[in-house]
Amino acid sequence: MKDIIKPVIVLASICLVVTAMLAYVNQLTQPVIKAAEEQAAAAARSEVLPDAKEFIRIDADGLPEEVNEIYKGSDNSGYVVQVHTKGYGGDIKIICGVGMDGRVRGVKTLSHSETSGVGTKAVDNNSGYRERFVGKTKKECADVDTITGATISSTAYKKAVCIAVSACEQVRKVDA
Amino acid sequence: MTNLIIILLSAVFINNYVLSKFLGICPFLGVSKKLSSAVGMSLAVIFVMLIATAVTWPIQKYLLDPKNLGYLQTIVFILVIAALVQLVEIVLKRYIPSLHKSLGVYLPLITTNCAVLGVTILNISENYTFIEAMVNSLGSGLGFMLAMVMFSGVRSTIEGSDIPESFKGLPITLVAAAITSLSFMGFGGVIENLFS
Amino acid sequence: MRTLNNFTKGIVRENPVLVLVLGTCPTLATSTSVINALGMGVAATVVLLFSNILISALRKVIPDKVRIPCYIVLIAGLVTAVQMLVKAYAPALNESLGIYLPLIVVNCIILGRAEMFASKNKVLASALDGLGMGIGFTLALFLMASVREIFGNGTFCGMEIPFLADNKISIMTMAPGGFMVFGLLIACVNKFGKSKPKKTDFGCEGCPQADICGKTGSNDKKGAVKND
Repeated sequence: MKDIIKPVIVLASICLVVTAMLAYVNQLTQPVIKAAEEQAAAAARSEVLPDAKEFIRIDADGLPEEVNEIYKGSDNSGYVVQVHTKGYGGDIKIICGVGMDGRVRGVKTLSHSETSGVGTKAVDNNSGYRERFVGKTKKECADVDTITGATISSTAYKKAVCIAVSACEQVRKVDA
Repeated sequence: MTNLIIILLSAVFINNYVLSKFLGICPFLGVSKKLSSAVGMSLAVIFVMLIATAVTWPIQKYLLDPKNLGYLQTIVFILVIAALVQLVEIVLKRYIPSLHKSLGVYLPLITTNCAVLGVTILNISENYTFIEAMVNSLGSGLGFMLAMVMFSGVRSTIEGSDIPESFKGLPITLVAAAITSLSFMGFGGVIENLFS
Repeated sequence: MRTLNNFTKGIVRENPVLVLVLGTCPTLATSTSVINALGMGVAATVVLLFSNILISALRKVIPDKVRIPCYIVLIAGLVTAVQMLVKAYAPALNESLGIYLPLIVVNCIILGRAEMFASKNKVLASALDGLGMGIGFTLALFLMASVREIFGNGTFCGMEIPFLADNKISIMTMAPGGFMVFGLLIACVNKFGKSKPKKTDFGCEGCPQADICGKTGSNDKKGAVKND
């Protein structure tokens, strides 16, 4: 009997101690992780909408489910939308800044899992694809060419930008 | 539906666990010498990947996430996988001894196979739905099998050839793996353009 | 002298990656750039050091029957803690290591050292062993990443190298390059290594399950790596 009880007790107590330790470390690091994420998100927002000094998160109903969050920039500069679409290897998450005139100010990939060397031709921030959308309206964005050899990835990217622009349009109408 | 096919094909060919993600290298190099053991090991991996996903996905979504315990993911998953492997072994031994005979020896190895833990974690971080997660696991397992079977063929050819002394054993195997992986890169463009 | 030996053996003579051929997955996957490799190396070293200390300290308490689950729980706990710390203080590293950070749990070096060394030796010796093995792992990763980054990307730690930056061999940073560089490095070790290297036919030798693996894998198994 003792042979069965002892291993169980030892294993259970090790599990307990480890879990307690993790809960403690989690409590310590959670605020730091939150702050770091917050900071990175703020930096990304300013990058795609440089005119705005501050951003206020707004809630709107009836937006497409792909839209994660939407922020309004200060000084009537425009909106920043975070969107995800299904790419080739998984979700592509982008952030897109749109001015009050309905033109794209900037786009940035936040995360993706596209194939290196193939899908990255579209989603990589250094690939040059994101610059093609800058300054374009909703209709012009839809006319941007996809990339040969990375069709699925670039289509998903384009779709994300189009959703972002139309979400802004929708919010602007409500605002006005 | 197209979505699921894309997930399946990309898991098998493009994001192949062994040849492009470097997961499960130990069994890939270790158990690929004979075709029969390569097939046995791969079947065991596919099997465990599927049941591991079927169990860990609901645990994460309905237990860990709502209770804000996401940080326990690694520890819970590895324990679940270890327990599942034990359980599967016992069940197989008791009820399907013939299957246990052919897969049994590979099962204990799988607990520490990074491909299994890898697929369960990736299914969560990729935000797959349950169906997508299962399809992804199946594809990853099939991809593992494809790489194993192909590579066991390559290795049997190496066996008979004249190799420089310092390349004998592991080095030449790795060089062969490099060439096999190079050939897999060709799939990248093919499948992506199939669906456009 | 013996104590010191515990520390130094992991660095060169029994280098976990190049001589014992353990932990191949993270070695291949994270050696695409020097920064990644060092990050991975340090993270694994920290886990290895603490897991060796803890397991050695608890070696008389842990019953033999459940020792593997106990080790796995301890290691997984440490890995998760390291993961949270990296997320908090080096988010960029967390992003680039991705899935390979939690996968340190199944790195055979760590479980292998726990089973072969820490469960049989005193705390100090185990700590030195863990540290030495960790440094050996980091050095091997660094070496591989240097080759891959210099030729594959024309940079070293992000600094551009004049001629090579214009003549990149991108395949070196992709998957095939990883296998190739690793194979060539081990061939070099076989050629120039002073002591006759053990005939390591595959990477599972140090795994606790090596016995089973050996039965199925190769027929010229030379017995598990010796315990000291």
